[in-house]
Amino acid sequence: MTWLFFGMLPLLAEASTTDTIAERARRIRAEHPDVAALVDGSEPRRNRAGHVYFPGGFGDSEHVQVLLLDAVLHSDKAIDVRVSMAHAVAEPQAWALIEKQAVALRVALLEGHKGTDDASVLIAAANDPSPDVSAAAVRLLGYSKAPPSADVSATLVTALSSQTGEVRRLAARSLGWRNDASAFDALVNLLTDQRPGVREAAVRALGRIDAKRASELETLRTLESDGHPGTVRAVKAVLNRAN
Amino acid sequence: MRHSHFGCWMLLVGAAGAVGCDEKSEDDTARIEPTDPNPLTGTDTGTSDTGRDSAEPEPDDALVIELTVGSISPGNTDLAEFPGLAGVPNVDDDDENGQADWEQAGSAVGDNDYALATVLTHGRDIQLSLSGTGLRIYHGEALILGDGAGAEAVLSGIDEAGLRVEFEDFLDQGILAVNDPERGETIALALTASPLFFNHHLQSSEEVMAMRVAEFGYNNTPMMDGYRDALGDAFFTLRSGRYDYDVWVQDEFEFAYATAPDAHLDIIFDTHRDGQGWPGEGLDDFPEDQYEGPDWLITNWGPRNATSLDYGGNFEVSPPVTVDGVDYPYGRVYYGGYGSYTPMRATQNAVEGMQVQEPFMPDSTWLCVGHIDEFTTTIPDSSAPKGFRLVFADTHSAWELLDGLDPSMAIPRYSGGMWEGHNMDTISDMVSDAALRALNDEVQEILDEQKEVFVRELGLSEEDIIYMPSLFEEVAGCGSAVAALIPGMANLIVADVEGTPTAFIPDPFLRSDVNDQDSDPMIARVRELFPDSIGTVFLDDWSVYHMGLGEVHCGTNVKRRAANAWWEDSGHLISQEVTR
Repeated sequence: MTWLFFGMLPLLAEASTTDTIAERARRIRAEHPDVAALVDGSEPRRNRAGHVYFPGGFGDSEHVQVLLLDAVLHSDKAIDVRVSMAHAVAEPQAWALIEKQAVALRVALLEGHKGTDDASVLIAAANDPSPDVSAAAVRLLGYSKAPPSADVSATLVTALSSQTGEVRRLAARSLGWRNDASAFDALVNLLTDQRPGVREAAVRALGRIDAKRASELETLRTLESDGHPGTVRAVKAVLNRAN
Repeated sequence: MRHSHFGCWMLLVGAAGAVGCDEKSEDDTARIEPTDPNPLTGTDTGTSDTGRDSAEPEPDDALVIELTVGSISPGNTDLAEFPGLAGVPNVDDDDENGQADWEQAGSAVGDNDYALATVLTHGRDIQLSLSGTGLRIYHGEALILGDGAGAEAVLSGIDEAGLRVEFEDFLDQGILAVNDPERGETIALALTASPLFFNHHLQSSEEVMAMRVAEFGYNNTPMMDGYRDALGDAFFTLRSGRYDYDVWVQDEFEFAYATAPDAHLDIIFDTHRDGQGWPGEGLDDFPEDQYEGPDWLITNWGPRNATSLDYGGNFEVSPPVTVDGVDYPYGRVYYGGYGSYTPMRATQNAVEGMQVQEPFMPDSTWLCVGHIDEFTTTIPDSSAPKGFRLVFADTHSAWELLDGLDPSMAIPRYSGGMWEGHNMDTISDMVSDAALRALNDEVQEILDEQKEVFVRELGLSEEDIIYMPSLFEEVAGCGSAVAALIPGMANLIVADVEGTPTAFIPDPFLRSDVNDQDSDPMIARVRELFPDSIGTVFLDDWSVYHMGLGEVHCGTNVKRRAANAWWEDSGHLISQEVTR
């Protein structure tokens, strides 16, 4: 089954389908009503950003995690509550499971792949038709501990041409964070992007990859007088680093 | 023969007469008279014969206006100069009838929001002339000038007149010309209503409040206990369940005040946060439940379409500063925003309109919540050149400290998953995370730039700044916006513990033994950074606040004492709109 290649959590190894997760959850609810009460009875609160959260969290015991995932996938709770529960799912989920969910849940479940050493789910998600999902994927690729690879590079470089500015911005940032020298020329093209945040991210990425080479770019130097303060700030940082 | 000091009086006013008696009246025969354009030239006013000598008055017989803060005479008019007689706007509801007292034109029982002046006439006829709007002047119980009356009146047949001046709104202004035609002398007394002042951290605290949480699996008991142990009765808490478990009491409202020598008005800027986003939700009713009543005004400005930038955590005030030669004795307001994403224009206009705490706007929009209190604050420091220090988040100093620690040191508070921790088991998980460093490098660039905004707008220098070790992370649900990774220690409150200003700071929990603050190198570092003149208490805000994208300051509010004589030190900041 393909999803097993994408780092499925061991505790759910037998849960190859959402039906299996539901069945396991039913069993846990029957055998461990106290655990079920903990998850099903948890009252969400609003964090300071106005988003739903669960103070104290849920913990990462196997039973709790199965019930959480079941609630995310199958419950009739409000979508923001399910999103919040998805954030509490401890282990990264397979793309085959994630891609069937609503956009907000896809974005939330991708967070489980933050900082992991398997980039395959994020690579798959980068091609998601939803810009929100794609943006989340390319952002999280910046955190990936996966070693440099042609697949990751190609995914991010392709995302530099996205029609969505936020995807371009985050792809540039991730390439910079990954110090991906192969993307230098592609990043140069973004120095004239119409979106200021993209220009800023491109400047930063180029500076991270090769500050001296970046500082010699006439296009980058002209951005010293850019109308966007973040871009100007980034250019100054690159020039300082190069010197 | 001279009149009694407390005789009845009679007024001749522009449109209608007015009459009344002072206390200790010896004569109740005062009358309402029609307007006399020249009451001193023969018309019988009933009390026109004052029995005065026809000789020139002695110099010590001069017209005098006595204010609470001192006396004014034709040869000594300093206190008459703008802002002159200071009052507070009569916008509260002292008789609690649901109507602002100004609307009741002096009839509100218990109304105490007047500026007081006593005119010593020495029995001569004194002409009064009022210019300006939003003003009323009463003699005794009678309205004699201003809104609802005329612009001119005459004090006649009395030796002194106790006047009460009422203002309709903040910064309403006028001139009361007090003319003694017999001596050919006039005093032009400026009248000015107090602006609204917001509190800063150098004002001593009166009471501190936070919402109590005690739910299955989580609570904020350690933080409540920490407050109670330090502050005793000056701390009060309410059960958060009463307010939909909304704990963000800093965001809901800001304390403010208007003041004058004769009156004081406590004010709450009840932000448009409206609880958790809707009227009546969460803490929306907290200000009314706790404070509504006489001598309080609960107010806000503009429409209800608030964003997070309109919340109280994004609204702060610096201590007193001098910037480019301009003194701001009550500091400057600052709120975060950038471009078109700012606090609502109506609020900005209102604050700017108060003139005395000129606002400025650093950028806080790079934060998930977007509040200015997430990366900076001020603390009192009697040893500092300006009497305070700016506390400013700084990632360099955090990395410096972390890089010096044993990488294998466990940090159990960080090790839980979402809503519980940060998935970091050891210091190594933090310091070896290249993406986290890259992110914080970018954050630091923003911090550097924003620090320059504070330096410029508050007239600061490097010695005025304490760099608070801080790290930020991207958090679920906020895209690439950030929040505190290490509990944001700049998000502190200042309150007095037995007369000593004390900073209540989020516990950073950078230690293996969560119960032993003395073993925490970050706490030790912060104590080194902070001046000896301020106490420090580190509060456990982890589960309810830190994991909810807020910290100690976000979950607390502080009412402060207003030590303020703005009429003495802030006239230069207020434009004089009414002149003779």
